[in-house]
Amino acid sequence: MPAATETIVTARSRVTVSVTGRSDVGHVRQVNEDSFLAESPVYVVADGMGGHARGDVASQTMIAQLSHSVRRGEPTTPEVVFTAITAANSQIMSWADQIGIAGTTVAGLALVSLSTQTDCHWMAFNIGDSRVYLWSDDALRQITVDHSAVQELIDDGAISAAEALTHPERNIVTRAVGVETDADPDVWLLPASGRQVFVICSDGLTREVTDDDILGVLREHPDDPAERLVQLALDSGARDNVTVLVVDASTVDTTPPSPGYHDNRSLGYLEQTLPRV
Amino acid sequence: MAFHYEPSLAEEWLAVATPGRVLVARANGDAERVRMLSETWTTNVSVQEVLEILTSNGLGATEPFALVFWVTGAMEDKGLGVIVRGDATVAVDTEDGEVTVSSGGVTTWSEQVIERAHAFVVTLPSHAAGSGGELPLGEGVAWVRRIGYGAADAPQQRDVARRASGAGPELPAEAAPTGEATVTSAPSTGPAVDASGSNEGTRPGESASTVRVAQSADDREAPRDPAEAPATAPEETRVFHTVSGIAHDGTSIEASADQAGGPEIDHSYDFLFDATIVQSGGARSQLTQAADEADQPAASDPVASLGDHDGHTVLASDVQEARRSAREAVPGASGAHAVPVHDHRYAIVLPDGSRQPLTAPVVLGRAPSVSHVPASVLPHLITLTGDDISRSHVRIAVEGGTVVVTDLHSSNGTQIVAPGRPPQLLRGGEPTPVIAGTVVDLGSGVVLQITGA
Repeated sequence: MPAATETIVTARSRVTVSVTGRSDVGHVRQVNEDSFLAESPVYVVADGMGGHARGDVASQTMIAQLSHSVRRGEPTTPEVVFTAITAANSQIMSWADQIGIAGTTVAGLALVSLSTQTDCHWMAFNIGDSRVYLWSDDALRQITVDHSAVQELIDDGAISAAEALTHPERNIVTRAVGVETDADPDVWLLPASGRQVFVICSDGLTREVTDDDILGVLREHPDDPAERLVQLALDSGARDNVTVLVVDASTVDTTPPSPGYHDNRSLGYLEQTLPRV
Repeated sequence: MAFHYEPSLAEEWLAVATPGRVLVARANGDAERVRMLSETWTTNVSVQEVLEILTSNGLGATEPFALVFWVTGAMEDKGLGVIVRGDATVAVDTEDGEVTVSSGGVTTWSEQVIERAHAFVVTLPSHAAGSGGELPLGEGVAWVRRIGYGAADAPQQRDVARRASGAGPELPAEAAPTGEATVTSAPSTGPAVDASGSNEGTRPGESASTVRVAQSADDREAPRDPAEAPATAPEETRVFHTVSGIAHDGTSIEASADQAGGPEIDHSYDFLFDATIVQSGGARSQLTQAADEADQPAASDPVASLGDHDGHTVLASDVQEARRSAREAVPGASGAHAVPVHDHRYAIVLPDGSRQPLTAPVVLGRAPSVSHVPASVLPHLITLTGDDISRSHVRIAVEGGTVVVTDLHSSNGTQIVAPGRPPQLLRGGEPTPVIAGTVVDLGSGVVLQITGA
């Protein structure tokens, strides 16, 4: 997908988003069960699972529900996104009797307007082990926290992040869309401010490509960073499907100066305490 | 009338019995805490003073406790006061049935006044073995696993009845309407999340810890009282009916039910191709506890399958239950356990004079953000402007019927002024309960007020 650029204008700011995305079946698997959506204001990667039980349809269902629900070109709300996830969850669950159990991860980013009392936010959300990263202050930070067996082991200090890559349970996700009656994503809200570059990817990227290599690609500012990242994964073997979205957003504050408003925000920062708990 | 208690063989929960009052607090053998708690034995110390002693190191550092008090000899007409923080549970027998009080995951504590009570039992999650029997306690201090007052035989009779019925699988259903579940089967309820005693708290939306704790609770109860085995069995079933057990263990009834409708899935395919598989939150706990549970046939299978890593995509029907209970452990999420339902009767008056009802947690700041919360409890964000305001400055929420203000480690701090009290600077990250009328000062002249809605 070549870079697509779009500008979203809100009451208080102007957000310009340039997005590239690519998905590849990889070298080993026969079916690409990953899907992605890149239609402003929502950017999502879904990694279907279920093998012969149609994981590809599961991830496509997730994408279709979001695509139908979210109105284009303007900030959405968290409720719209959650409702779409719930709808996809019900739909995938309903197949269990006919075509078998399937599921999908979902990780994404949506520009949301929460209320008139606050500025626009980027909402990152996830269920499963697809991820959202933020490149900021020349560091790559993983925002979302996987719902996976190895993440639990990491949280407990039982294994390191490096050991997780080769751990025998690395394929076990503890939550997914379509396997439980309830699909409640975890959510992060980051104020939209300055330049923010997000990488949304399925585990096919992070299994094969290190954070440093991802950072290296971003620093080079290629025309199509998503294509470059997928190529890196393919060069490393790409045992799983690989899907990458790179969302390059710039937010300009257009709030008219008014008495008492002290605009001292710098470009590109984020709350230092923010991404990981 | 005296209290009756089951002695604990470990110095974990200390009960301080006073006429008309019992305090049970986690002391974990800490001599200083034991001394501090023991000071409350006399009726000269008021309930208010007991609470002040308990929270003397700040609310954040306050260990779990249960405090039950009444006007001596008049429990039934004057009402029974119950305050619970952390993982203790108080079950009260009243003329209208049983009422259970637990903290329900709130960061402060639960308070309830219960009318027409005639007996109660405080149940403590404990790793230690108990003696099994019960002893009377007039006034004094003892290490306990459980302590009650009035109708001393009632809890045991219920236990016996339940065991005798042998109706293992019916236990949760039978217990739910009466709220008795917390008396004998704590692992099945929300508050039992804390039963591990590790104080780690449950991360929102994470089912794993619920499952894990449920297991460990069962583990330690089983050897203590073999007669309870039938009652705990369904809990174990629930935990172990997970995915990979299904893949390998064709004997599981639920497993075959889950798989019956679906097509056969090729195990080797997914294994080769690094497929992702879904497993309930209990996956890891089964591994880590495998050694303890080797004698449980159901437990050993998941371990084998994880090692084998067959890549089977599976659905554990019980995951739903585990997720539900995890969600209920989240403050603010809808919960079925005995936390009293509070209408949202508080609001924040913002600097511009508008009111923000506290129907959801509110995070205020110059550029407020939210990190890692379940979608179901997403807070409301409000942008405030001012040089001294931090990006995410303060969080205000109603928890357990009380407004709690938390300074989010802001650069310049947050001051609160309760009516008629001197200003107080909040400690960063420490939830502080406030009353209606309290003024919250964020600096830069930005002042909020908490009001009754």
